[in-house]
Amino acid sequence: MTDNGNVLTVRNLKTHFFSREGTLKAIDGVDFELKPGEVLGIAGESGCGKSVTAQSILRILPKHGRTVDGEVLLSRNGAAVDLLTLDEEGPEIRRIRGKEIAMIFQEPMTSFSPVHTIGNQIIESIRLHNRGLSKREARARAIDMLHRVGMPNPASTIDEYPFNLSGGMRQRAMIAMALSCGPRVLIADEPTTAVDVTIQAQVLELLKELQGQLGMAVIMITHDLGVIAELADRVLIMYLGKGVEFGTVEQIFHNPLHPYTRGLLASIPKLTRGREVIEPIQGTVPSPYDPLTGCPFNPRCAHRMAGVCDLEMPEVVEVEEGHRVACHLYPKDAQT
Amino acid sequence: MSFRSIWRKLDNAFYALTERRRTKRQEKLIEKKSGQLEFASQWQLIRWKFARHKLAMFALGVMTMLFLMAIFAEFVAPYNPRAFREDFATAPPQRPRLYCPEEGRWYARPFVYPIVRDFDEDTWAVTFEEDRSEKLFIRLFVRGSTYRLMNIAFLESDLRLFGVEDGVISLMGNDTRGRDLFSRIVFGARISLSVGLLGIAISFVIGIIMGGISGYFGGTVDVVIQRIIEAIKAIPTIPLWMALSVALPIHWPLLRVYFFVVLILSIIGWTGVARVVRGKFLSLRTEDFVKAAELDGASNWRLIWRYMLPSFYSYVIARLTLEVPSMILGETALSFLGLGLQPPAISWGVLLQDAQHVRVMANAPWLLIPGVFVFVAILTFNFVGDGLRDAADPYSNV
Amino acid sequence: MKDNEHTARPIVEVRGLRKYFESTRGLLRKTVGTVKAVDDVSFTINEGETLALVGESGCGKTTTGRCMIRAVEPTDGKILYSLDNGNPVDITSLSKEAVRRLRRKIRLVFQDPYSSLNPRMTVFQIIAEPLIINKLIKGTGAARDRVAELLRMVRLDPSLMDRYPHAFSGGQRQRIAIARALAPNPRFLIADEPVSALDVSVQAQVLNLLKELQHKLEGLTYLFVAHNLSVVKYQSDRIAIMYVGKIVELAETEQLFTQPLHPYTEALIAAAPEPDPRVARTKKRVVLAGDVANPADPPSGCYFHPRCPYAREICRTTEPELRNLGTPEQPRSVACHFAHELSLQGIQ
Repeated sequence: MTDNGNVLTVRNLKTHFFSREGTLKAIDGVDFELKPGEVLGIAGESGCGKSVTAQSILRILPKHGRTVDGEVLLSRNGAAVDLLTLDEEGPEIRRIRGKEIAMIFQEPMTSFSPVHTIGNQIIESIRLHNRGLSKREARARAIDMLHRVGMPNPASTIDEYPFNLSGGMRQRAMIAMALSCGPRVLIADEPTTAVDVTIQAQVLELLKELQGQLGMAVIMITHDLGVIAELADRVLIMYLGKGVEFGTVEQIFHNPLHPYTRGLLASIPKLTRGREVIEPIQGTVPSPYDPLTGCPFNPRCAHRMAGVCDLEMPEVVEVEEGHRVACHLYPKDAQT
Repeated sequence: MSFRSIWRKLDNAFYALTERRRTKRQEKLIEKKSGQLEFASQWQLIRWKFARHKLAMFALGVMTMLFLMAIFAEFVAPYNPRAFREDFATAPPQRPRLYCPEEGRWYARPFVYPIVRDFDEDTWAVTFEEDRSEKLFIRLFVRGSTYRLMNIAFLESDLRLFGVEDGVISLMGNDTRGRDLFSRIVFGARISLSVGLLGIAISFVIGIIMGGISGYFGGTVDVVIQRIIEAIKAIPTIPLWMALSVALPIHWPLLRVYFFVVLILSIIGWTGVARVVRGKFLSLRTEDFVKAAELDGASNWRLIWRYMLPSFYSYVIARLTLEVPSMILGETALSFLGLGLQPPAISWGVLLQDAQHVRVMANAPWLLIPGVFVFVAILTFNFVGDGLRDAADPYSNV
Repeated sequence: MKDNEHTARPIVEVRGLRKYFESTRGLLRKTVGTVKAVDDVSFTINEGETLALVGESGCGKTTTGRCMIRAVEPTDGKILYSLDNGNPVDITSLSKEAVRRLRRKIRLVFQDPYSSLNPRMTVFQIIAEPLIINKLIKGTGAARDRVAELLRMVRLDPSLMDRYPHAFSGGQRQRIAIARALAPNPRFLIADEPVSALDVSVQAQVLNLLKELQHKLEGLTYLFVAHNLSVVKYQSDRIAIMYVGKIVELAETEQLFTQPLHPYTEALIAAAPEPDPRVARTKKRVVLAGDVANPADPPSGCYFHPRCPYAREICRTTEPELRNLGTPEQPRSVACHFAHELSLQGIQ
């Protein structure tokens, strides 16, 4: 298997949750590729499966979830490893988690244990992935990392407990921990949703800066298209477990093709826009248990074609270079 | 290939196999969803959710049977629990059979062999043997001695659920005075189960009042009530029971002793309920929908009755179900130690008093059967309570 | 850019409002600290307009809103509400019964529609509750008619009124909550972050509904409490920016965005992520250092000075007053020592 120069390639990923109520298709066909050093934004509303995508990649799904189909190819030394074939609790995937793919979460408290100092936790994760390192060296590296994320007085804050830090500082400490082993891919799951606007700006700026310095690839998962516009190079828009549109940030924001993407962009009030009326998308996101055939967006779509959209799932079509969309408005045969 | 990966493959195969069943179940759910779910009230949702808890449903069935047995004890028990046959003291249980080895044939109707008394020539000890020459067929709805159902005059009858004609049936053996143990257990269920329910009812009333005051008004009242609860919880129960039962006059009639025992148990029992109620009140006071009602102009009374109580009595009921076992165990322990009900009364604890002597237990281990009933009853309450607790908040994932 | 004509008749006038929370300890409730959640806040809301209170968490915007219906008891200050006949009353000194009557005219819409509707009551019962409690309607038939009318007003199908809230999505629930708020014909609606718990694609529905209702129900006034600047810009006529319990700037929407006068306003505008990559990547970055000040232990002088890129000596020592820098016809206030000389950047 070759990697085509992508650090991470996700093909036809399907993750379902099995419960007494039936099967919940949390992800039902997601494709994207991540190039080294680029920022991929995954955007969608609650229940679209964007967080489950991250969990599927790292193989940290909750108990009832399982990935039933697809490939997650991580390139390592020119060859590609399919993470889905690895043992979920085996040594292989554990070496990858944290060391090659790191993750940060919405609520920093969830990634820290409250009974250890942040320093000890960062040092432990460094030593876990770098066996030869002495405790002192690891500590020095942790302090350096805290310094890089803009923690004031890193040499003393390293011995603080998580609850002694403010929200913004905790966020920084979590980023420091995630980056302490020099991962090639960082997955950020709604990293700014729980913090205030000015802190959000700090965190985004920091992520941007660190990404430039360390050259890692970032998957930014968020419901906030503003964050995507600010950071991402390429964007995947998800709706009800399906990737509906994929393209560069320019393509997505200035030439959106899928009616959902268009609707989403038209429904957000903007600062730079006058007070002309915003256009909401009709209806609401259906329950994932509801029976739905065809395109998942068809009940709310303004361009719905009866007899087509409600029956068949549209195929993913590459409309222009690097711009893919899954919608019947862009039929496959129209391609040259 | 590691064990884990083999296991994963099996697991996956299992999921693939059960896919169709799941889809069917899902379709049924959707049907329900599009049909009634929107109109379903809290209790309907709780019922649906409870019904999905298979173990709890099974336990509920067992519990219903135990209670029916207690209510219709005179009808279910083949004999009067106080009637004794001195000659047949500690006679062993008779095994119901369908196969007769002597004749080498099967019967459609179960039967028992009569028990005969005998002497061991060497030791001069009384022994009991099955008399294989005769068969006593077990029949439903036989006529026995007359009784009054629940001591109500006009419910006089002599119909029994089952029995044998021309003989005696003793499914669980006889006690030390030759009384039918099964009949005694059936009657014992009356007191043992009702102690749990009545005790809980009293705890419930005290608990909801004290917890409600504590949680709704808060402040100093709350602090005082909480300290009282802590003090009560800190009292070691067995010495407390002993002290209280010493105070119990010997000449009191059975009924009064019974209520006194219930009261003793409730004095400890209410504290748990009060804590739950207080916690619920505290969290509900800050709930947006309660605030919204307050802003709508609802009075304190309306807030409590229409908004707060309905939001947590399902929890309280679940919690209470889980408290019943401690009441039953309490009664059993008290009576077993001779501190609660005394022999003319029949409860599972009193019956177990017979099993206190090692000698008796070695010769007549069936005297421990009342303990099995206690065990089953307690498990049932726990399972049903678990199911109720899971169903108590039907809005968590509809 | 006003679409309705405001007969600048004030409906609520807040003067020097303060709310201090005291943290106590022990059985004797000894005071161990004071949090100045709202600290000397004054503003006026005119009939038929939308005033937005904007700020980060803990700035006191929600508490200010709650004080106006006495859901939270103010520590100090006056809230003058002009009755239907034009006579003003001070809300802070009303009797319990008068507060109950007032709460029919001033209504609150909560942030989270999942927790603000009683899951054990049907939609009809929820919406009719304020009417029944206050005996504003007689008979079930009349109540059902009124609820149906209210549901149509919030664009929900009246035939759904016997369903329970769990049958509705977030956006629909928020409409139900709005219908409940509108039931007793209020004049003034306090909307506390009414869309921030909703999905992005549904937020616009609720925002547009609120606008439409203001248009339809003449004179309906909103106090719109929010943290999202883009939403506020879309929704409100005037905006008050709050920081640690104080209003730092109050201006007409257009003015505030094109020409902010307070450095905090500038920073908020710069920090708001704009869903347009071209704008997002070219706009001036003002990233504030540090965290929002702790209201239990605020800094000296101007509360904003530790984070302010333009802070000077006086900011550390002296607290700036909220002063009017606009014209008497078009007032705009700001609390900054250097508001007149800084040239801050807004959006074009």
